[in-house]
Amino acid sequence: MSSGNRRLLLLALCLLLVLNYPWLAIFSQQTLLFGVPLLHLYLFVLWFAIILTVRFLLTGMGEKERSDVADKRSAHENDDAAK
Amino acid sequence: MLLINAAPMRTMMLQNSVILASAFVYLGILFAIAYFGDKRAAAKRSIISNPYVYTLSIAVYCTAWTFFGSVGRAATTGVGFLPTYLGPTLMAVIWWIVLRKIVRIAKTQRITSIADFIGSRYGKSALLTGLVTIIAVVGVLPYISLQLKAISSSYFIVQQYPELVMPLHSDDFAIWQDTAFYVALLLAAFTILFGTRQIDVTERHEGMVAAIAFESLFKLVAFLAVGVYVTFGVFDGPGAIYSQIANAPKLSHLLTMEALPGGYSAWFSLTVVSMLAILFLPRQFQVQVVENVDEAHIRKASWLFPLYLLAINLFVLPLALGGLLLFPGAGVDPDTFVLTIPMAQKQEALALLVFLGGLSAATGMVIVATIALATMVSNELVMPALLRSKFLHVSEKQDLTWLVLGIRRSAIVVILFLAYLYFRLVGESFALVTTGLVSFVAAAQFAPAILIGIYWTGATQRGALVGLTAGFVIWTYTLLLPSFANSGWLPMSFIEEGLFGMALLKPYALFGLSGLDHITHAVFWSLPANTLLLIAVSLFSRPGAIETLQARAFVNVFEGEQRKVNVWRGSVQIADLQALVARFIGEQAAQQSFARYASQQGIDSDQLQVAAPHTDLVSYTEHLLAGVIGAASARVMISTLFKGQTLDIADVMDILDETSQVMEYSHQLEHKTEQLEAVGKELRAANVRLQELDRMKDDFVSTVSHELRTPLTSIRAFSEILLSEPDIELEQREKFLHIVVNETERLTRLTNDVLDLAKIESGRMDWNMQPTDMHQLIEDAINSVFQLYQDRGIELHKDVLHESVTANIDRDRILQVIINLLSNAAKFCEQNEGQVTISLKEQHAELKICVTDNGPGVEPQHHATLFDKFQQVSDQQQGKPKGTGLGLAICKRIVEHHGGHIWLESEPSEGCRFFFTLQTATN
Repeated sequence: MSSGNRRLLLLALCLLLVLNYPWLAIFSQQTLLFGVPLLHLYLFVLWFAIILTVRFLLTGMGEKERSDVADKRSAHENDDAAK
Repeated sequence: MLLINAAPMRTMMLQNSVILASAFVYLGILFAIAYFGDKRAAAKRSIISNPYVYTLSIAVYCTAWTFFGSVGRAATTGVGFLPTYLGPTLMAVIWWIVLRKIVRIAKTQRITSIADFIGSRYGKSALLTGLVTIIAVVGVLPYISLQLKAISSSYFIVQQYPELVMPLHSDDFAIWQDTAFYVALLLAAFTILFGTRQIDVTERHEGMVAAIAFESLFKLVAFLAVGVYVTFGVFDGPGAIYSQIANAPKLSHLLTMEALPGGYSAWFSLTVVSMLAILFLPRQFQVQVVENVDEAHIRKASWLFPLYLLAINLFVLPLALGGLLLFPGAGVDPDTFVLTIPMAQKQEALALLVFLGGLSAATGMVIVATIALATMVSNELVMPALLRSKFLHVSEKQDLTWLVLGIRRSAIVVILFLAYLYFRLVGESFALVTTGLVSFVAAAQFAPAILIGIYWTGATQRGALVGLTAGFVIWTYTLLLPSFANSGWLPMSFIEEGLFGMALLKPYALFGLSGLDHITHAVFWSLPANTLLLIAVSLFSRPGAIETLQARAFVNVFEGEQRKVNVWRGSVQIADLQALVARFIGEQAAQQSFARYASQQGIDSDQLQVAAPHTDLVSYTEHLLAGVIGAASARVMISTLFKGQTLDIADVMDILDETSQVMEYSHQLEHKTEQLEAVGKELRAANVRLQELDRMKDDFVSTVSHELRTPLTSIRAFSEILLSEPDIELEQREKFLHIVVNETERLTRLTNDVLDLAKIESGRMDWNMQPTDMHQLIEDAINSVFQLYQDRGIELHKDVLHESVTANIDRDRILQVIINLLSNAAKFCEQNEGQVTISLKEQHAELKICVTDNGPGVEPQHHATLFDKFQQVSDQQQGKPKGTGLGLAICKRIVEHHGGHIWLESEPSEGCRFFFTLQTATN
């Protein structure tokens, strides 16, 4: 498994923890923060953070893999040209 | 609910005709988009081949459940609606790992549905695909019925404008008075037009995907519009809503987890079930896997889809809480808040938009789900049964395209009718989300078979069958049957007292497990049972031959280019294959497919008649068919061609061997190449040596010839003189004859030497090894050369050990060596001044014999070559060399044959010392 895939898997495991009991119980209060209940704020902010993290992880991996593919392709072309 | 409903205060905007017209215009637009999408696909200019359309098509996940149900759920459970969307978000994090693998497998195996996927993984089993199809159909019925309910009740409510009237229970009407029935009929017709106009070998529906993407966009815009309006138009932003709720004692619990029945365990089980549903609901599998154009799209969809979910859920809580504040009391169903709030605010246009948004969310789900289910039913259930049945002779009929289409269309109608029945019998009693979750748990039953199946080759067909069956039975018992009981179709005692009054069998508290909500309870029993049975039975059962092949193909899909394994052995006519395909996709398409194959493989299709050596072609045909009628049916069809030539275990072992042999062979090849390189190096070295030897042989021959000619020339010359001049003086004549004799002797010596050398070198020399007294030997040698030394006036000294020494040698040969060395010494010493010493010493179990002279010595550069053939140190002063030039070469070979060495030590003008060693005779 590539290091990128390991990062994604680790992220998913961490998220399973922070989106469940008992972690979630910390935020289950009737407190309003910026006019929004703490629990709602936590869930939606975390949600948005997940999206950004996944985007960051996959875009980084993507560029690396794409350049690898490009390298391979150009190597193939060179081979073909040599033939 | 009644279709005909006279409302006196009707405004223009929401007249029944306007509502219906806008609904049909909306569906018309959808159809136009689908048509356009198909046209573009046919022209190879796909409009769906980008990650954005892919993401929007996945958003078919958000149905009427999301559009209407989430608000209803939030109004009763607070954040309880969220696990349904957080689960998919979590799953999307690992989409790049899991979904990409599934997509890759589906593409290499030409998978057409989730049933096909599971069936193919476990040996293309018709039994398993059939089971999966049944679970899928039964499991998804509640979900489709939910959409029917949402469409019909939203239509009913919006019709009542400006009054807010909740739909009545439909028990009181006949079917033909029920809006939901007509909705079901309409959707069936629409889906048939959408999804079964033609049969495609790839089983992809580009037009449908394009329309679904548009629907996803439309429902998002509609929901955001009503969300923004209610939050900022009706209220002063979310803060205002939250602060009012926080101050309402009856509602403030909605801000925490307290509001969720079942608490954290329910939250967890809902998250898990949603994680699995996003991958394994049949319609999600259809859009994410089967309709996927490029697996690279998954990369963007992994974060874009959660973003879509976040956006569509952003206003759920404000809408739900706002609705609760606006409609205190139980008069308005929270599932309808999205529609009733704008209506209550007299926002006709917005209400119409919301109605259409709900319609788009529901139709999207119904279209994709029924197409996916109908494909499964026809490919995996009906066709295999028809093809197998000997009674109907279907497998012999010529054109089957009509049959496939007919089955699919009937399946769509039947599925929607069943969904309507579920709605009428059961669904009305429950909230939208509760109904939908029942389907989620059913879809989650596919997860163990797929997730374990694509990572563990050991999972077997029997394991999957047992696991799935257990999961499905538990689901039926703990969720489906109780819902019938709740609706009065089974006695309530079934729930309250358990089956046959056994408390342990209470469907909501199986084996005494109580305290969980119904969904969590069902998940707790069904998923672990499913998973553990799959693993346990797999460990105790042996996979079949084709199963093993498929398991490897699935698990190792990323490991290099898959080597295609052809499981069909035996011969079949190509014309038969083509005719078979033609029956399902039409004559022209079949011809094109085969021509394409021929041109790809570089085969001249006209030349070829029998596909025996090209079993590739048979597999290709099977793949083509699998695209139309599924893997299980395709196998049946192909096997009809191979009458009596079925695949037995030995064949499969052959196939497996083939693969491993190829790998073994390439290993060996690598090894051989290395060996060849080494051998090549040796050969080159040997060749160089051979060339050297050849050159030396040539030199030797020319040298010998030369050496022979010299004495011959002089013998001939003097003989001719003697012959032609008879009156030559006697003295002169004697001199001449003397020369002739000398030269003849020299010739004899040379010839003997050459013969000796040749004998030694070719190994044909007879060695007469025997213990020999060395003192005696040296004495004999001295006696032999005595005359020569006498003639030249050279002194010969002897310096030998006193005790007697014996050596195991060929006496004559060693004698020859010593004589040779002594003669050489005498020859090279100055006449009358020469001093030659022969010595014998014993050193380290070796005898060392040395001949020392005080002659001119040898230049160091000649030391090494002196023992080579015809190497004579020519000396300007000495003129013509003495001897044959073979003496030392022969000595060297004789000494070496005895296991000794011969060498010389010398400085110019200081004389030289020739040494050689011999082994002493051991006792």
